[in-house]
Amino acid sequence: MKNANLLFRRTHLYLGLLLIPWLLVYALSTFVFNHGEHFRAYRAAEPLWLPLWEKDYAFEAPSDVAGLRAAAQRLLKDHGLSGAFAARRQGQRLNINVQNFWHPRRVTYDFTTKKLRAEERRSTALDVLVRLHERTGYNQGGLLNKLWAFVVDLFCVATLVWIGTGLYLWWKLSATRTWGWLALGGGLATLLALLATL
Amino acid sequence: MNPAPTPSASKIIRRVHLYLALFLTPWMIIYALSGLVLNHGDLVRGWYGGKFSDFEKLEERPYTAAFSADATARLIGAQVLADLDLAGTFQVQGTPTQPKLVITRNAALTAHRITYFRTENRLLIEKQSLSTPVILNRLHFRHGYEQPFVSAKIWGFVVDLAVVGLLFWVVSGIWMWWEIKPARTTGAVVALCGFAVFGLLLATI
Repeated sequence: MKNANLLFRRTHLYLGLLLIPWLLVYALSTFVFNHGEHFRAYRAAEPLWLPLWEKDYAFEAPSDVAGLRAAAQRLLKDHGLSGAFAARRQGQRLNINVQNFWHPRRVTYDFTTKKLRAEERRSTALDVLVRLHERTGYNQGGLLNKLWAFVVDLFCVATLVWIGTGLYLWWKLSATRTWGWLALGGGLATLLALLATL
Repeated sequence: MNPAPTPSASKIIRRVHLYLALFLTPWMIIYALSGLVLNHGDLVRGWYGGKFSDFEKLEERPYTAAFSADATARLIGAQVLADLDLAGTFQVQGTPTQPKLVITRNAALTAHRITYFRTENRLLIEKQSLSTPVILNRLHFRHGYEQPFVSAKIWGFVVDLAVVGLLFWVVSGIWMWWEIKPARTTGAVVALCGFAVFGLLLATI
């Protein structure tokens, strides 16, 4: 039993220490979301997109989604751009958004004029913080993109582990039971009241 | 008679760490589960076929109301919702001069979308299909103090409390780690690994 207690304590502790950067990112960015109007002045201002280059280019876009994505990836590689991206055709335009925490880029191809244009989004430290919060998913190639998604999963599972081990450790401290029940019950009652009235 | 012992700083920090966590447990479960939903969006959408978060038509009905020339889109939206017995937190898309206003009523567990065709004096009322992932995501994204409703402001306050909780758990966790001498070396290595991975990803992707 003592071993289980120690295992839970150490798991609770080391997961917390490992994920400190993500705890800080999610806490600070959530504060920015919750008080968006006060932080507007510290976000990037118009014009958000700054031109990098524009050139003539011949590009045939496959009609299927997978083919379009593969062609967009080749286009990016040919122009020295890499990283996670999303490609979408809208009428006579192809928009490719290249994700990056610091320097997100946008490549636009106009099928009518056959012009390819690249722009970079202006960013402040707050914009980077928000991007760190919002980035999720495994649908991008590359080991590091997958690693980020894995850490997001790890953070979510760690949160559930902190709750489970935290409840166990609380229960072992008999002196804290009454106040603990009040805190737990108070939180649950608050949530239920809000769900019923929002 | 001995005076009651003064609780040490360590004990106060431990208790605040614990009770804050117990109070915020329901929110942390919501954020953890919705984080998994967001991180596996395609997979979760696949479980629900093509019906994930779709709005379904409930009814269309005539609606006649007179609004003054200076009525804002928000005021019109609030009146439409009140007339439908759907008052509560909402967003409006469109301007008062446009022939169509889209009002989204975001309750905690349901969402209605009301399209007001002003020139046709007509309402289209739709409801979002209910599913656990959609509800989790809606609760995850709910924040701010802009909505003029007490419950919405309390939710905004709890979001702030969760922010305070996360920051306090980091600081108090570091404090408690330092108090456990046998855990210092391993803890330092683990924390450095976390910062190294974070730094690598921040610099490269």
